[in-house]
Amino acid sequence: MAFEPRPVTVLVLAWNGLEVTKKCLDSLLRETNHPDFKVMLVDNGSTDGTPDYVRSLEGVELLENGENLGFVGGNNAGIEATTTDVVLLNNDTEMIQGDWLALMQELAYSEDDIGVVGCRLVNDEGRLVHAGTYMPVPSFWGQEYPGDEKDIGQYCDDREVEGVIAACVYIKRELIDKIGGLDTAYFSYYEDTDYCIRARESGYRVFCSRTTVMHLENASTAVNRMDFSGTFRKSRETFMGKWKTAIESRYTSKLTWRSFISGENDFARASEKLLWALDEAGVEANLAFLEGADRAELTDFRVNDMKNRGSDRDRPQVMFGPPARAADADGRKNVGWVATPYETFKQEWAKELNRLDEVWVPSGFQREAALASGVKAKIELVPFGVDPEYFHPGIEGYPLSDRFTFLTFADWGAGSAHETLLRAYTAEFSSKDKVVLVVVTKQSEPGGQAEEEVEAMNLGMDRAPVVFVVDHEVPHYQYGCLYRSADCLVVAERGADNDHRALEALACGLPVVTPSWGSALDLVRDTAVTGYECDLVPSPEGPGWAEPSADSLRAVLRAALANAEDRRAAALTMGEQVRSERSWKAIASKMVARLDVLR
Amino acid sequence: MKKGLDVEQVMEEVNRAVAAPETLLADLWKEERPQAPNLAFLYPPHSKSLRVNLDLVSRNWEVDPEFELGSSRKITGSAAVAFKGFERKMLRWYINPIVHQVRKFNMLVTRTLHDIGNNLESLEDRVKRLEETQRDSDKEGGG
Repeated sequence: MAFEPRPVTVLVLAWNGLEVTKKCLDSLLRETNHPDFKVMLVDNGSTDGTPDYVRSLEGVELLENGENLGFVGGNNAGIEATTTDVVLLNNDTEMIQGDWLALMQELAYSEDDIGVVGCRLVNDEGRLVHAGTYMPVPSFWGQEYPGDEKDIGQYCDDREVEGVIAACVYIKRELIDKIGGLDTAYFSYYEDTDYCIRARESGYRVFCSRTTVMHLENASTAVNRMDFSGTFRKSRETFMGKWKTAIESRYTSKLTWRSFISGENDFARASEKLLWALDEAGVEANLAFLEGADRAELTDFRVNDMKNRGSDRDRPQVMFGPPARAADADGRKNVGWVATPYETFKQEWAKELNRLDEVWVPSGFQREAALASGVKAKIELVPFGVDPEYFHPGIEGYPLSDRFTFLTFADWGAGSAHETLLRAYTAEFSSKDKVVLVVVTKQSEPGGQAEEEVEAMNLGMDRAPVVFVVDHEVPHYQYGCLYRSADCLVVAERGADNDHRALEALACGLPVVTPSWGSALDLVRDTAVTGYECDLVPSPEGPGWAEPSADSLRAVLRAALANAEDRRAAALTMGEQVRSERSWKAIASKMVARLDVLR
Repeated sequence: MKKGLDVEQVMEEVNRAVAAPETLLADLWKEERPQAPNLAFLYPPHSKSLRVNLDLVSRNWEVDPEFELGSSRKITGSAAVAFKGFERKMLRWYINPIVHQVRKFNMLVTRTLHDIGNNLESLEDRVKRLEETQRDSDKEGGG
């Protein structure tokens, strides 16, 4: 159905800060291309000439409150003075997209039960500071997605959220007629979250639009030297008095999550995403740290709150970690979510896994390995997930203009097959080929381990370029940008727990080359994910693992270059499926179903 | 919160490395290493490689002329060790002053490198503070 514009009033609240107000109004009037909107500046008793300035403007109505009624009182006065839908807009915002208002209105009317629509907010450095809010329990310090990250195209779809902030929010008149304006129990802060909860309690949903507005943040507080912490604390107490019990009752089940939860490792990254998804699915999780609670440094507010819930051994417990740590699980009912790097689980691991109530494995390969190792406990397939907000084809990429880019991630350990990859790549491609291999790597030892090992390989001189990106601390949320900057991901691992990078790359629409072995085998299909042959050889620990065939790898790399367009199209199609079936949200609901059975 | 390096910056470096590999290699590889076109190692600017290298320099500046003597010969090994010990004793008058000079030089270089590293860090802090001040005054000036 075609979008039909409706009348809407943009309420710009100001309390001094004339310079920011000027920029806001200027951008609002200049950029907005909605056919039926009016602007009303609600002045909270400014003494810096704001009212005089507004009177001098054409197309802006002025509502003078005469005194500072706070964010709540000021906006409510504006809401009462109008009869249309409203957009509450801070005076420290600037419009950077002409269709911002049309997009918000269109989303608001896309479903009858959408009552409140917020938007993405970036600061003046282009960092994404808001794309919805959530309320961590038990601290009740409201937080924003994603907080402070470079805007790389994350959260770029319209999506339902717990709450939005009122720096730029669209509210339907029918909702206002039903629940009124902002709650005057608040002066400033928490009133927006409160409003979103009230809207949800009345049967409406809250959305964050894909449109983006610039927000300078707290300009009024700064300009007027307001007591931020005092006002915030008071509002938080008011909020908790109203909603604490209701919010706590959203949890319908409980579990203890045992894993490596802090630091820069794959377990911690996956744990964080999954704990978020479980929290949203109504699971009250508390934490047990494989790395030791005293060593855990948590930077995520929601996960940190989970740490503060203490421990409870009566809950079902999920141990997500190396199979060797299965014995750490000490809950009433225990699950081990594990993967082996080898063709089988070691005997001592299988013995510990058999003590658990259930074993979750991430792939068909891992299930076979568990069965072959004598695991008798119930085995469930629970695959690893991916965050579709950060891994999708709309994420910013910085591809090289004239070269096909192979991307690989390398650890210089026994499980890495990068020597084979380097030999295969440099043998297959000469300086005449328009390709480059980018190796993102960390050195386990200081002092040029990568350089020395590559030097010792004595590779041929006429070869296509290889660039090692060593020890650059790229934030993980930007890994999608790496995939979007490349043309093909090459997985060169000996271990069988080899599918998570492939999954992230696919979600971004990037073709993948991977061993035809291990967990990645579940992904090998069509032209999107191409497998290369491997031999089974003993690992230093004993059980077998993969030794990639250099010849097969050469052929697959060449084919990836030759059919680049077809493979990209296939990867985009498969990426869609990955984002929907393997999102952490989907994995969390599978886990919840299993936990219900266990309980 | 530590923000790390943006992928955009990393890819710019990759682009430069591909465009002019020899130039980058001349900067990054030790002089005595052979030229190795089309292989580039991109470390973060200043930060990690400088810290790592300073750490290595600090641990390796001392030269010890009295290292433990040994021999791989099974039967005549002890005689060989005794002979080497005798030789070392006879040459101390010549070797030790040179070793002393080398140690002194290494120590001074190590200390200087640490000073440069510290100065670089304080300069970076100063630049960052100045940039923040500039940004704040721009904001105030502009509204």
